[in-house]
Formats: sequence, C-alpha cells, structure tokens
Amino acid sequence: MLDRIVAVLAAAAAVPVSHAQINPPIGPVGPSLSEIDQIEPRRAVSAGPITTPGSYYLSGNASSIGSGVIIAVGGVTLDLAGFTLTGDNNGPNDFGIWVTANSDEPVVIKNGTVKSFEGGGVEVVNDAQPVLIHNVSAVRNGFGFRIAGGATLTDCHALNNAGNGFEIGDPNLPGRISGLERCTSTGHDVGFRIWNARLLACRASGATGTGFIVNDGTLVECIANTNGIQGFNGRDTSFVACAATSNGNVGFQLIGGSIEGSRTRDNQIGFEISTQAHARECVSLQDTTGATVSFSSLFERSSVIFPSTRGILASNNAIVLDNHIRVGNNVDAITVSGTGSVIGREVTFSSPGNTSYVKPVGANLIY
Amino acid sequence: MRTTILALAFSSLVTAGPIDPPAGPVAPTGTPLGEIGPGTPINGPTTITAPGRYYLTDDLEIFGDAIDIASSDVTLDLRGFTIVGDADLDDARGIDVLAGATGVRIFGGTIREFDGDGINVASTAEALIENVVVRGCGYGFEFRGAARAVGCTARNCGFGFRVLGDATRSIVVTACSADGNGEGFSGSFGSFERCSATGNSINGFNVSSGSVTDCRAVNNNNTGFSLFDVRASKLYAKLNGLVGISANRAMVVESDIIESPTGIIASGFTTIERCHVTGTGQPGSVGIDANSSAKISECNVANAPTAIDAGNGAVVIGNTVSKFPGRVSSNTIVVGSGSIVGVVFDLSTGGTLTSGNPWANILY
Repeated sequence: MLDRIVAVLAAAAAVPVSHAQINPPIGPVGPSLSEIDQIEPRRAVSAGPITTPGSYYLSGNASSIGSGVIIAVGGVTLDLAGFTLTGDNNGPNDFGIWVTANSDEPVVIKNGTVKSFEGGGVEVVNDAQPVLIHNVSAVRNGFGFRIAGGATLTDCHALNNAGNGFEIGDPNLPGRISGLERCTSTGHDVGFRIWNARLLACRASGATGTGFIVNDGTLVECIANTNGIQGFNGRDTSFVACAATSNGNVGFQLIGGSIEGSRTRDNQIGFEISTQAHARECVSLQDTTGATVSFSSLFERSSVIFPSTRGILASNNAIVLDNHIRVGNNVDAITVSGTGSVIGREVTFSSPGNTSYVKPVGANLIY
Repeated sequence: MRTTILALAFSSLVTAGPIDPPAGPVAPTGTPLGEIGPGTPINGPTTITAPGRYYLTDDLEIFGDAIDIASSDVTLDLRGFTIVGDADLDDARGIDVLAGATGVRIFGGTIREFDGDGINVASTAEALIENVVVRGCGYGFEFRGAARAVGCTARNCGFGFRVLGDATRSIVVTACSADGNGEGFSGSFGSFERCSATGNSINGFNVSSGSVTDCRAVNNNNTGFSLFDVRASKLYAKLNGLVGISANRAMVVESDIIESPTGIIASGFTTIERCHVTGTGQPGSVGIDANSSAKISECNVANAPTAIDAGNGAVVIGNTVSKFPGRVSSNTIVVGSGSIVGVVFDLSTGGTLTSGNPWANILY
C-alpha cells in the first residue's frame, strides 16, 4: 500500500513544478485521480503461497529460504515486475515459482527472473489449467522450466540451470498441446525436452547433451548449435526451416515424422533419419557425413555439400532421390549397406561446364 | 479518498526532506505508469459507450450479458480476472463487441460459463483479442467482424473458435488453442496460423474458404482437419479418431499425418502435395483416400495396408510408398475406376531407380 501511495504522491508532486496553466478550469471540480484501489487492484507479494485467485505483483527483489512463490489456486496472474526471486540453493524440493494448482482457471506468470532454487526455476505440476508464461528467465536453478501440458511460453530464457532448460508436456498422450515462441536455452544437460508441443523461433546452445529432444512436436525456425551430442532429436515430429550447427554428434536425428527446408553445418552427421521418416529440401554443409537414411526413410531433393567422409549412407529399405551431392576427392557420395534400399541413378559430372544432359527421374547429381 | 490523497500530496511539498538520493542502484518505486491509467474501472454489467481504457478490478459474476462495447477505440484490460456468467441463461454473452465498434482491444483474462459467446465480435466491428481464456461457454470466440485473436484459449465450449466472415473482412486467429470443445476451430473466411486443437469431441478444425498454416490437431475424436476450399500447409495431425485431414476443393502441402485410421481423404479437385503420411498399421488403415478428381503427388506413405486408394477420377503421380518388412507388408496403391495412376514400380527389394517416367510411383 505504501508504495502505491508514494507513486500517487510522486505523480501529484510533479504537478506544481511544471509551468502549466494556473487558472482552474471553469465549472465544478471533477474527479482527476482514481481511487487507490482502482489504480492498483493487484496485490503485492514477495515469497510464500498464493491461495486466493487474483492478480499479484512482486514489489521488489525477493529472497527465499524454501520455495519462492507457490501458486496453489488457478485464476492467478503473477507479475514479477522486472524483479528477481532468489533462492538459497539449498533444498531439492525448492522451486522459484511452483504452481501446484489443479484448476481449470488460467495461471499467468510474467516479467522477471527466478534464480538459485535447487529444485528448479518454474514448475507447473498439472495441465488442468492453461498456463501463460511470458518474459521470465530462469538462471542457475535445478532446472529452468518444468511445465505440464497446455502451456504457452513466450520470450522465456533458461540459463545455466543444473538439469534441463525446458521440460514441457506430458509423455503420455493425449496431453494438452503446448506452445513455445522465442525461448532460449543456454547450457544445461538438455536444452528443451518436449512432448506434444509446437515451437517457433526457439534456440538451444551449449547443452552438454542434446539441444532439443521432442516427441510429437512441430518445430519451426528453431536453432540448435554447439550442443554436446545432438542438435535435434525427434520422434514423430515435424521440423520446418530449422538449423543445426556445430553440434558434437548429429544435427537432426529423427524417428518418424519429417524435416523440411532445414540445414546443418559442421556436425558429425547432418541428418540421421530412420523408421519411415522423411527429409526433403534440406542442406547439409561440411558435416562429416551428410545424411544417414535407414528403415524405410526417404531423403530427397536435398543438397549435401562437402562432407568430409561420406555424402549419404543408405541402409535397410531407405530411399534416396533427387539430391545434389558435392564431394571432394576420396569421399563417397552415396554408400549403400544392408538390403532393400532404392537409390536414384547416380549421375556424376567430374568437371564444370554446360551440359545438355537430361536428368533422369529421381537421379542424384554428384559433382 | 481523493481529498485525502491531495492533502497528503501538497503537505509533502512544503516539508523539507532529505535531498540526497539513497545509496545503491535505482530501483522501481511504484506501479508503472502504463498500469496506473488513466482508465475506468468496471465492477459490474457495463455498456461502454465512450472511447478509452477500461479495466476490471476483481472477478465478476454476472447474470446476463456482462460487458457490451458500443464505442470505438476502447481498450479493455481484464487484468487477469474472470468474468463468470450463468450457463442456464440462454444466449448471454461475456463480452460483446457491438456493430460499428472499431479499434477495440481486449486482453488478459478469463471468461466462463456463458450460454452464448464468451467473446462476440459483430459483423461490422473490429477487434484485437489477446491472451484471453474462454471456457464452458456455448461458443468460445465468435467472430463475424474483422477480428484478430492472438494467444487465446477455448476450453470445454460447444465451439472453441467460430469464424463467420466473408470476402470483405479479414479474420485471423494466431497462436491459439482449442481443447476439449465440441469443435475446436470452425467457420469460413478465416486465416488460422500456429493454432492447436486437441481432444475436441468432433473435429479439431472444420474450416471453409480460408487458410490454415502451421497448425496442429491431435487426438480429436473425428477429424483433425476438415477443409473445404482451403489453402493449407505445414499441418500436423496425429491420433485423430477417424481421419487426419479431410479435404474437398482444397490444397494441402507439406504436412505430416500420423496414426489416424485414414490419413487423408481428398476429394473434389483437391491437390495434395509433398505430404508425409504414416498409418496406424492396423487392418483397414488407409494412407490417402483420393477420389473425385483429386491430385496426389510427391507424397510419402508408410505403415498403411492401403497406402493410396485412387478412385473416381483421382490422379496419383510421383509418390513413394514404404513396404517396411515386419510391419505392414501389404502397402499398395489401389487403382480404381476412372483414376489416373502413374506406373507403379515395386522396388521393395532395393536397387537403382532407372525409370525415366516422372509420373512413376515407387514402392520401396
């Protein structure tokens, strides 16, 4: 309350020092200010439980022994107002913001930072309520964000938490679909561990493990770079216009689902697709192996540029059609192992120049 | 209250206080100006008749229509609060943007339990609606006028998002979700982008004369995407009860359809291109059922006993069909009466593709 009064006083005090009209307006005096409770109908909160629906805000930086803010009911909006909730990093069950509500009323969390909670930064236990998290950063907690399904996260950032950056969704379908936009993960074991969600313009960097592990997801314009193992690991997932650069092992590993219009660079393997997966119109640049295609997967209309060891490895009923493969000396363009694979005719041009050659259907152009 | 505040204000001016700033970095001292106002509080049933900013001060329980917006240039901040109606009162609405009201913005709260619409935008109105949850209403969001919804959710309504536009009005639904409704997204002349429908009892999307881009439909009881006269791309449909995508007079490209009994039904001159269909692998599962002069090209189908069923004038060219051993070995392309199907090469034992026929379909 005091802060709110101070704010009003500050606004009122500013009036005399401005060189404004000093004559009062004609007519009766009318209301010029709102009532205090109208100006700020929200309630200030620092740390502790919220057990009543309503709109709350953090009135300053806050420290906590134990969990920070526990939201035990739905219908809560928590505005961190740019402040930071800080834990004592001493309690494996301590969370910066812990949503235990099991309600169908929404929960909104926005605009601030949680750090140094040993359990995790932000955890939402149930997917019953829609959850919106906007512009929240989780720094050096046990994990960054662990959210049951049905959540929307925008402009959230996980930085150097001990476990994973984001764990979103429920491994048991059918769960509610979540959406993440413009979220970033830096460091961590796994940047994003996702079930049944769509991600737009998210980025994972510097994970010791994999940037994105996704089941039943859609990822558009996402980036994974400098992760220790894989950039993207998907199952029954769609990747569109994503990029994987300089990951320790594989750029994209996919079991079922599709990869479209995506690119890799400087990974051990650019694309590793298997079990009826489909990659099309992709580009591998300077990966050790451009693509491995296996178990009835289709790799087509893509470019593999200067792989250091092998262009494409096809095995076990794979199909490889209509690709462009640019290789240096002593590098195999397409290698076939196992049985049952179908390869478009390999057409090799060993020297540059115009050609009137008519490309056969499905042919892979090697040059 | 106002008098008290002013008295305190002026008394502070004549009291000489410390002029040295406190030690340490500058920190926020109060509520941001943008949240102070100016504005007009709403604490009961209201008809807004003047431009300006309005906001809720608490949850509201309303018997009847809650808030009617009759003026243009109105911003309504729900401030995270909930407007609760009476589901037994026929056709009552939570927020009604009335005819002629333009430049309206509504954001940040919940509306529930109205028998009619959670939010209605009339045919000659214009509104932007952001981050609003509607649940338990007859219609979650019903847009007849030029409306844009961003980041909204409809749950447990009869219809989640219902768009009833025409060629003169732009209605766009972006990054919204519809869970557990009768039908998730429906209507005509709307654009749906980055939206998700899950667990709806009929269809995830039932859309005509519009566009659907980069959307997901998972675990809906009937059809993931039911499309008529629609341009659709980058769809993801999984585990829908009957059909992944049903398209009539539509174009569907670059989409993934996974584990529905029928992946795609294409009819009425529909074009399906560059889609990836994975069936259930169960007897009777169909990857793509094409008829009525639909064109299916450059698609990849797997794990369906009938990969592509081409009937009644369908055109099926340049597709690939997986015959993955040990799963479903009877993947095939059925050539029905009146259909045109590119030659089918069975290369399931492997080898080099030597055909020069660009229309060939390949079993592998």
